[in-house]
Amino acid sequence: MTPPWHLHVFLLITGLYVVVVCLIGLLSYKKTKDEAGFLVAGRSLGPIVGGATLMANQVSAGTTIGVVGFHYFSGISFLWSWVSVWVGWLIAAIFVAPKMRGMAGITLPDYFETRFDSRPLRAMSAILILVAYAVMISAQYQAGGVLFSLITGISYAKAVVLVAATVALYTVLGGMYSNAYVGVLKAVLLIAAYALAVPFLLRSVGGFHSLGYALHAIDTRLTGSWFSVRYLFAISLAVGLGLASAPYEISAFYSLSSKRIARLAIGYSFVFQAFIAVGVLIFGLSARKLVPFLSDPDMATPVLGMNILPVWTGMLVLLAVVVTFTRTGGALLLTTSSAMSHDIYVKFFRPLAREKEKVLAGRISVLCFGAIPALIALRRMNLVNFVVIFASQLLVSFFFAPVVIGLNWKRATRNGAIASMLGGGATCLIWNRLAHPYFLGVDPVEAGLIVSVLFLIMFSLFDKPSPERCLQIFFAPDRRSGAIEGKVGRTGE
Amino acid sequence: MRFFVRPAIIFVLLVVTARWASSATSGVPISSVQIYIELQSGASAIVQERYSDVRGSAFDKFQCLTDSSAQIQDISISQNGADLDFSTSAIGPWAFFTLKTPVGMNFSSSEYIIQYRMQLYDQDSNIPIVMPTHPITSDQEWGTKATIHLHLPDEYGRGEVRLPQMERMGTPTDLIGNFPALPSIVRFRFPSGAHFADGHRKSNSEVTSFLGTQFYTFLLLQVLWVIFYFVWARVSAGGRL
Repeated sequence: MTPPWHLHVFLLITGLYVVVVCLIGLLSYKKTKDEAGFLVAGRSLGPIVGGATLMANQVSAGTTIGVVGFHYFSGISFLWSWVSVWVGWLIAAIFVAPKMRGMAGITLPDYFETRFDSRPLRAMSAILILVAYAVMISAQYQAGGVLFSLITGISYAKAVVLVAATVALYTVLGGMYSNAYVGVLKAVLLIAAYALAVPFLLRSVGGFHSLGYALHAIDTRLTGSWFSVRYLFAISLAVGLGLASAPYEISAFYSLSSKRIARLAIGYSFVFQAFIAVGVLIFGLSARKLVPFLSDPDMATPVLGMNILPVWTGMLVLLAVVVTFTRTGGALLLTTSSAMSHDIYVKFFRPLAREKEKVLAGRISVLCFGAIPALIALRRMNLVNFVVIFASQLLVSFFFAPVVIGLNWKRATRNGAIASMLGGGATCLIWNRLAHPYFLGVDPVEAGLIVSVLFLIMFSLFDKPSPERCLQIFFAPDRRSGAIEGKVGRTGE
Repeated sequence: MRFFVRPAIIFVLLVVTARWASSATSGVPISSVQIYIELQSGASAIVQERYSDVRGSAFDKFQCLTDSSAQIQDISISQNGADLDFSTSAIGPWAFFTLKTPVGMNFSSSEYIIQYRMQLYDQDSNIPIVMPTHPITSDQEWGTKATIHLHLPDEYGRGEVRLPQMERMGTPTDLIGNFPALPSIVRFRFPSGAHFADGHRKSNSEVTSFLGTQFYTFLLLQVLWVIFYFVWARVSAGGRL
């Protein structure tokens, strides 16, 4: 339990943070008069704010709580899963972001309808986003609930409700603008927290050298290979490839001001993540040395923040974690609500709705879909990172092939995409149910991805080609960066 | 494709260099051994103290040592009754020290005795914590000495340890949670690739730490990725190198 005055400090700075994000929401409110303003920040984000937004989407409670927990119980080898993030960003920068920004849509389902001329595809992808992201948002709420209840002593249920209300409040006010600027705040806080805490922790454990010996002494696998290359590859596949086709990252690509800015923003995003990768590693390893017998590895970050680090540094770390799950929760919530309001309500029921009505639908969706994950989070799930990984696996199996291949292979067709999404998603789910970890020597995400790619290619080749009007926007000659957005840039679809 | 070639070449070179470095010392007889001892202490240590009231009834009081830190002190290492030289490179709740043989000699199968004293300190004030008095009756020091018997080498070259012969004045039932005086973890580390003078070989995988190798390789690759990414982004946007 935290000493009372620590608790007061934490409550003070957390309250200050809530006030700041609500102010950001209020200031952004004026800019969100139309749907593009609310859901993709009017396509106005620059490279640094955009980079912070991309990073803030990706670095969730799964990172600051979950990955620290992974390093705590498994040592350094999980570090190599970041390689998949490098690959994922590269795929996004080369094959996805410029074309998506060129299309200038609002949501990922927009892409499916535009590229494959299919409303059923829009509906399918929107429904999957609703389901998978509800699970991922609940993981953020769960992490927040655990942390708040641990620090403040309030019940877990109350803590979850508090977190969910904060996330919904600033998202409903400022939409993507709020998310972008809170993303910058998150980047600054995370880097500051790790920059202050990591040197202290390294000194506390006697330096990197001594830390190595200590971990080696506890378990030789902590400094060697806990996870097999096989397992790391499977996790990496879900995280890295998922990043290139994640609906919230696609929405962030739409929010950037040009294709050139999209590439730069990805670079900045990676730089932010590079700091965080080192920070969470040192946190996990140091915690294993300093408090080696935690019953729940997810408690490593909270325990370091409350009991090991100096008070102000510890409070900064805890605040950064709070920001992490509230901001990622906000991005996920915005994507989920846009799937509901933009892709289902507006496109299927109110196609002639005015901009004001669309924005209102978006705000109401935020409130509704902020409540559902909170209910899921009240039933505690497994380790946060496992939950996030499972949802990522499902999304990769569903979206990766139709997005990445569909954007870059003219011959991909509507039926191919439908078969790919259904086949990949179903395979991943069935594989998960059949056996763990490797039914027939294959991980669920690998099985889903293989089936998804094969189905896309096979069904497309047996299908008639997509109409030329669907291809033009994605395969027009790229005279120079910014050529396409010059035509469709800020006009949306 | 050129974007991928250069990082790949650098990575291969790194792997080859690391492999060469790890095998370069192979065959060198062992002349020193690094020893690591860790006290099983930390944030969750709780001590149960037993007191008696004025009427003689026993009652328990629990003391949480959350804010305490442990230190190993007064280390001595002996072989056949004679003290050996060693150097200490880190000390705290753990001790990490290097034991060297006299010039011209190498380690051989023998028994070494390591003794140390453990003291708890308040983390804020750095004042030594006086440990429970009951049933301790003498000088109120806690776990005054631990003795480790070390046999070098066993067939894996790890050293055989008989753990531990504590000259402890309390009883285990006085403690709940982690027992701060026990050296629960003792490991030995030998120069990479070396072997014992009497022919025993060690197992590299048992005693080699890959922490630094992995960490610095990762950092290097991460920096390379950033550099090449921005070069690519600039070139692809029509700029020059």
